[in-house]
Amino acid sequence: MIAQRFRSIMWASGAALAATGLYLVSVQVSAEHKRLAEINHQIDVTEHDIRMLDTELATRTNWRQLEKWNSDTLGLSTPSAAQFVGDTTALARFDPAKLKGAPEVPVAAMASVTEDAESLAAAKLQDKAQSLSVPETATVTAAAPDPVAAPVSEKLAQAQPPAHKGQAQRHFEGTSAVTHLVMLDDALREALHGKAQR
Amino acid sequence: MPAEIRQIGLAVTHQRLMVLMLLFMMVTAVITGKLGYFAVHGLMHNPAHAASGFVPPRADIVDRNGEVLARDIDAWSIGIHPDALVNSPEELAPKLAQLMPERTVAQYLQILRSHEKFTYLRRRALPELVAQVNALGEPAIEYLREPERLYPQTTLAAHVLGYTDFNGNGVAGMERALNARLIDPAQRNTPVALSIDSRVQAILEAELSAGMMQQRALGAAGLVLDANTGEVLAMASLPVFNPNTSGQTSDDARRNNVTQSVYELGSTFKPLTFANAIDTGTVTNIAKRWDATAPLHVGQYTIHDDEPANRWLNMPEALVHSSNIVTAQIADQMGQQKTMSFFTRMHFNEPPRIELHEKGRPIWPKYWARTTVMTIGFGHGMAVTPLQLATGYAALANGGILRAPTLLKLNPGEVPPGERVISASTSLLMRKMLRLVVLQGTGERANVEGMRIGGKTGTAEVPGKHGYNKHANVSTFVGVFPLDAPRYVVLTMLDQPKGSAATGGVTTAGMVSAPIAGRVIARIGPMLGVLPDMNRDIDVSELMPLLWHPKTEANH
Repeated sequence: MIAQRFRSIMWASGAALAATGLYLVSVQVSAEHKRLAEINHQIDVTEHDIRMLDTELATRTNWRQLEKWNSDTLGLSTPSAAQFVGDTTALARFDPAKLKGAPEVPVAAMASVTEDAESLAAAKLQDKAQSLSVPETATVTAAAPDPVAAPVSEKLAQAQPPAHKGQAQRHFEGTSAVTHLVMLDDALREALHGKAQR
Repeated sequence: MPAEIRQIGLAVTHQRLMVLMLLFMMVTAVITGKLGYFAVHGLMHNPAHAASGFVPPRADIVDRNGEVLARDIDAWSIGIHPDALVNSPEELAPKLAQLMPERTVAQYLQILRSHEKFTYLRRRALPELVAQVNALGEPAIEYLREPERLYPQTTLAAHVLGYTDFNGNGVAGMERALNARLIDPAQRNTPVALSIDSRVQAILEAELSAGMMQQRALGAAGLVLDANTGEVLAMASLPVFNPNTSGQTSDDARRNNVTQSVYELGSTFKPLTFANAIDTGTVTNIAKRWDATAPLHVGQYTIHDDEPANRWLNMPEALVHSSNIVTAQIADQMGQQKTMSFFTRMHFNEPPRIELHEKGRPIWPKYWARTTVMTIGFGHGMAVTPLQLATGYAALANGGILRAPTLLKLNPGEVPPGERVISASTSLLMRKMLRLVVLQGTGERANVEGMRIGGKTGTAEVPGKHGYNKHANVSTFVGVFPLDAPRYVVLTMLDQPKGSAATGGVTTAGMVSAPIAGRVIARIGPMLGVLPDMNRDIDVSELMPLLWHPKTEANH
């Protein structure tokens, strides 16, 4: 009986609760909307700042300035036709000593190991090992460093400018034989290094 | 009775409940409606808003690689409310005059005593100045942020870009030509891409400027044009101006020598005349020899060669030695109708067809006498802009199609429609002859190993009040590279060079303009994907036997 009498009140309060809930959702949406607008505004401000910084950078490094630095400070000049190579074969055959106006210095910039040279070195070492009567296992451990590599390093050290001396020596450590090769790119250098290590 | 009362009470209660229910329904409907609005509004508005980002008041102008050439920044302006002044004008005026000396103390006093509501003291003020003026502590001075057009590359491509006035309206260059597009609210978020390549532009300006200084020339012009599409990769006119301070520039510097100034471009017209003569059937055999043993007398005029060969010359020889006498004979044989028709089809009788508003009108002969036809053949008697000549050379080299030049970047693969003005076979033949000029003729100093350059020099005397001035030249070189598959036309021109020790005081185009073009091509070629290749060239072997050399020279 009491439940019957309070049913309408319960309906009313239920509806009120639902309405309040819906209103809260609406408020929540509104708040989110506002936050989104703020973030959008921040993005706009940041984009504007980025534009300003970009512009400042472009102004400071404008082409006139770069041209001045290139010619006056760095003394750069236009590469000649002979300095352009069309493919890897031409790159491998490239010899800077043959360029017009190249300085008269011995050139031995880099080196590569060939299969033939490696087997030749191994054969030489084996001969030496036999003559010294050292067991075969000892030949392998002793093979890498000494006799063949050392003179090459010295020769390179003479040929290279002082600044590159260390690098050249590092490169040839453990190398059993060398052939001249110039203008190696990084990948080629790594491949050679790997081979030398092997 | 009590039953009736209860009945009435029940009815009232039902009524109230109904009202309450309606009320709740309304509230629910309002909330649902609002939720629906948020849902729809959020969908329709937010993504667009998020995507729009910062919209500049005026669209950026960028080069073909996206490098910014013109952009709006927020600049400071200083204004004052004279009616709300706190300090006395007598005290403030000297301080303002000291900080901003463009006005005198008396002028500042006049402004401060004017009782106006607002007036500007300085627009485009530097932040340092704003800080100094602010330190005066006058509350009536107002500091505003206003958009200002900035050209980060300063003088680079100044004549192409132009500049805007204080209100942000374009008044010159592409700023003027594209004004409506740049301020269009729907489009200003997207930069306008020009066909200019700022790297190429910088190189052209640097080399032209060095050449102009070395030769102490009055002015210079340079152009790099895509021979196949008509896109202008670089357009330089010297002296330059800084569009950031356009107000402080002389009219001479603002003049675009490539599109506004017209010149008699001399021997650079010869290849066009020769192409026309071959196409129209006037010359059916290029090996035919023409008399160049003596100057040509026509009426009261005498046509002579600068470096007379004093022998009979065939067409390739006439071009290599730049013979006016032979060209005049060929033009004469071709006649007025064919000459006029050809140069009309070349659009040499109207201002250059390009987006810029700064255009010069060519000097087109009013009366075509026999001598007019002859002199126009070698570039005298008609004056056109350097842009028109370069456009003509593009047609000469690209297989014969004339396309209007453009300063707007085209989409990859887009080739605008053009008009055929020269046949494809004549174009190929002319390319070979242009190569000969650079290999063995007046254009030798433009040659760069492996770049396969061809071109023609033109040294024209400047017309004055009393006829042509023999001591003032316009020296032009127009080159095309690589000639085996033409891609670019390069034009370099010096206005009245004075000569230098390096050229022995000589001011001919072969000595002063051709080397500039060579240096430009050597630098821009690799950037534009044209690598020097010693194993490639256009085949000129069929023309070589036509060039006669003295025995002593041939024995070398």
